Amino acid sequence: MSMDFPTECETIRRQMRSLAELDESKDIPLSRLARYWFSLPRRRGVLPNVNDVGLMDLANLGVLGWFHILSVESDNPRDFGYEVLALKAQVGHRGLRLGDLQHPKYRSALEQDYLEAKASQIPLFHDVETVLPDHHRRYRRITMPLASEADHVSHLLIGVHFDK
Amino acid sequence: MVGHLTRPQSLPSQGDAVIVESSDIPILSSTDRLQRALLRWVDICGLSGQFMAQSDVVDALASHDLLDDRTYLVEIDGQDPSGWTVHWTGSSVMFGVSPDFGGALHQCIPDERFINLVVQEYIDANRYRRASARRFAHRNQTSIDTMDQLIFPVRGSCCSDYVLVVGEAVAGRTVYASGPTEAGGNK
Repeated sequence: MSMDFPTECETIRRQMRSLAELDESKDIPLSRLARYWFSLPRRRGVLPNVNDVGLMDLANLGVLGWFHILSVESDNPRDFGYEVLALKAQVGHRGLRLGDLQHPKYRSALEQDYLEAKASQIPLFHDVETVLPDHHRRYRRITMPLASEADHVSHLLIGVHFDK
Repeated sequence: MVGHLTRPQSLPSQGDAVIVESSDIPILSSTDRLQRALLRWVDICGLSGQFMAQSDVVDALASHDLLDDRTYLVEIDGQDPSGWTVHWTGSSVMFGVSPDFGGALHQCIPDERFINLVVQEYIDANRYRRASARRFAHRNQTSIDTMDQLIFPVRGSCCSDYVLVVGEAVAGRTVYASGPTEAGGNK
């Protein structure tokens, strides 16, 4: 059972941007992840398979710690769960579901964004600022769909790059 | 872009095909422990480069918190693993300190091709001075033995070469004890 915090303490701003606006010199991990996603083999359809994403691939790219992998199999976004959580984020844990997040506005924003990413089947790039009672962070985020067995989105590869 | 290197070594025979292979560790099954260990290694040494021990190798690795219960350290000397010395093993590794790494590995997984595959990855990590993350699998018609290993090249102060191996059991028989693990230690 999650405990909600007062919503007046929360501000969530995010702005969708074109992928062409991704600044490769500023957001190196995100640009590398995007190139990697485009380079992955397509066994069927247009989506890369999550099982083709390897630990050493990501280490070689220098993006370890800068990405989440979120399972989006469920129809209910509250059941979307982090199977890999970005170590650089230093919050949360593997297995965390969106429904476990304590801040209602934040939870709602993520549910909305990830549902949209699941439906769109293409990479989405956002500028994000979250102001929570215990947390203030600005970052850029790129959300890329992955399939598993069939050609439907089962996971999202989510690159995050935080300002210092 | 980085490719997906798989190194299969199969000798199918009638009725009893055995496949041994190594591949990149799938990201979905890579544990936080392995990711943290790899991230820590990259912070210290980079992906290309060795850990250079200025003093005792075990002490040097321990001082960087690089040893735990599913870690072992092997000195690489030539191509024959029966002459490689195991200098340190964690408490959940199924073999202890030994002058014969090949023999120790054979006790856990008695298949020469599997041993050769593992050994070749260790040799390559050292030869190319490059960390690697490998999933080793040994499959036949009835069972599958699988383990994930990070392989880190280390150079001792006397110019000896080692690999530090940080691993985990995935399925079946491996070099790691199954069940709950405990804090590191030597045997």
